[in-house]
Amino acid sequence: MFIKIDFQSETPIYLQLRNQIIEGIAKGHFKPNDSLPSVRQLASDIGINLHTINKAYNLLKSENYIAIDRRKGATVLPLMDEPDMAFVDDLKKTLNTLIASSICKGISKDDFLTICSKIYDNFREEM
Amino acid sequence: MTNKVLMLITFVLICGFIIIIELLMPKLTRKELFFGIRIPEKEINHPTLRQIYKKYVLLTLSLSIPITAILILIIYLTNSVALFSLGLIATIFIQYIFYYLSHKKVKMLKLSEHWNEQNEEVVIIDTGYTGSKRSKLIASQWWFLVSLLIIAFNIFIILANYDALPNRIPIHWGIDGTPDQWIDKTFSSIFYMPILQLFLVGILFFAYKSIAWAKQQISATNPEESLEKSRIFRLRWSRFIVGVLLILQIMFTYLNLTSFGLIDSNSVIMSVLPFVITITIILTVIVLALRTGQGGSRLKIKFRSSMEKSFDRDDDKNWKLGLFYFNPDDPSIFIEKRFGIGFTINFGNFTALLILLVLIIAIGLMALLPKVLS
Repeated sequence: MFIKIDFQSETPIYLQLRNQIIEGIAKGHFKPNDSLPSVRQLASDIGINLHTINKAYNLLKSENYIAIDRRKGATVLPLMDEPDMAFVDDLKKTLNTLIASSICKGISKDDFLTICSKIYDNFREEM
Repeated sequence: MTNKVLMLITFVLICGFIIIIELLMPKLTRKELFFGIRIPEKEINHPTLRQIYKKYVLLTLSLSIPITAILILIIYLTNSVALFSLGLIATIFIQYIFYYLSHKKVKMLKLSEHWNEQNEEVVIIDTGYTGSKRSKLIASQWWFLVSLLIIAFNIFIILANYDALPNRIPIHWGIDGTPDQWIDKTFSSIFYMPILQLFLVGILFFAYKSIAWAKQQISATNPEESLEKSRIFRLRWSRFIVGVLLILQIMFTYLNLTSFGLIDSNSVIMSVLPFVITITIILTVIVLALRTGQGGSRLKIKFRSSMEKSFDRDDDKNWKLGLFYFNPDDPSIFIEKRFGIGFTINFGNFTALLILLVLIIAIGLMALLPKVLS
């Protein structure tokens, strides 16, 4: 899977990396139990500090997307069957602002839902 | 006299090779890296860039030929082998100056055309092409085992014939194929050749590994295409290294058997063989370089990218003097050369500097080996 890091972006590099790995898992590019590239290899290929990769991996670990094992490195955790409540709360908070902005920018409820469902399907069809 | 003439011919051939490769180099490097400066993909055919190349060719040709002639004259008059090597180093250095002048010009052009002011600077990597996976995409490392078996065969032959070996063993031959340097037979000196062979395996194994280890370099304009080109580039050069090693091991085995008198010495073969092998290797390098280009830039592969086009990250500032990669934030040890074929090290990385030091020491030790063993 391609990972694209923009050094001029407002989003910090470790977040860009985290977001794209989550997208990779959702799309099925990374399957459950797959190993992610080692911290050193990823840092070397992108040409950035090891700490940045560590930061992204630790975040992914604390959010339960991956497990980090001393010997095997980072591996992808299975997709959850049931959502955990803490995440649903987070999701609601994030959506709150997004929906509010959408209303301000003249996006109707239907449009909003269509966009959401297209993006959602996009992730699932490649599985 | 003939030795002197042969030395001069060799000098002219090597200088010619260096100059021709340097003249062609701007056409062999990655297209988005012109004289070591990152250029936006759509500006590759900018008229000023063409002018810079033309002037580079003119300058190189008009100055290299008289300079080489002067060097030849000096070597001819002094007849010194030390000056022979110095002359080659001088030639390389002068070529570098020509490169650096053009490098500066492109840098100025980039500033004046505001090519450095992009609103995105992207690095794209493929998670399926990281170090450990790249190792599987180049020539198999089992070929190095074949070389080790050849060395084992040499050692076995030496031990089996120890009593029959001559008391003085030739270890170096002149251009005419007759020995001109010997060591006395002792239990350690007879292993001169096998040690040299092992050293060769070590150096080339290291070069081979660096091909897999060198960091990914994927163009943001067309990731799929540049990834495929990079894969073929690495595969071809890894095969080249494996091939060269095998040929050299066979040559060493022949020298070994000859120097121990186990097969009859034939001065024609002894003078022609190294020459033929050297020419073959140089020609292969030229053909490979021309057909593949740096990072596969000359391969005719067309992929339509599924991703939208982006601008590559401007990494000019990490290349000191347009030649040395210095980036302490980058844990990479090996990286593709900007102006040249093959790989260089990250001079900002401690491990890389350590590796360089070990290599220099190892080469120094090898040069001293005949003295150490006798």
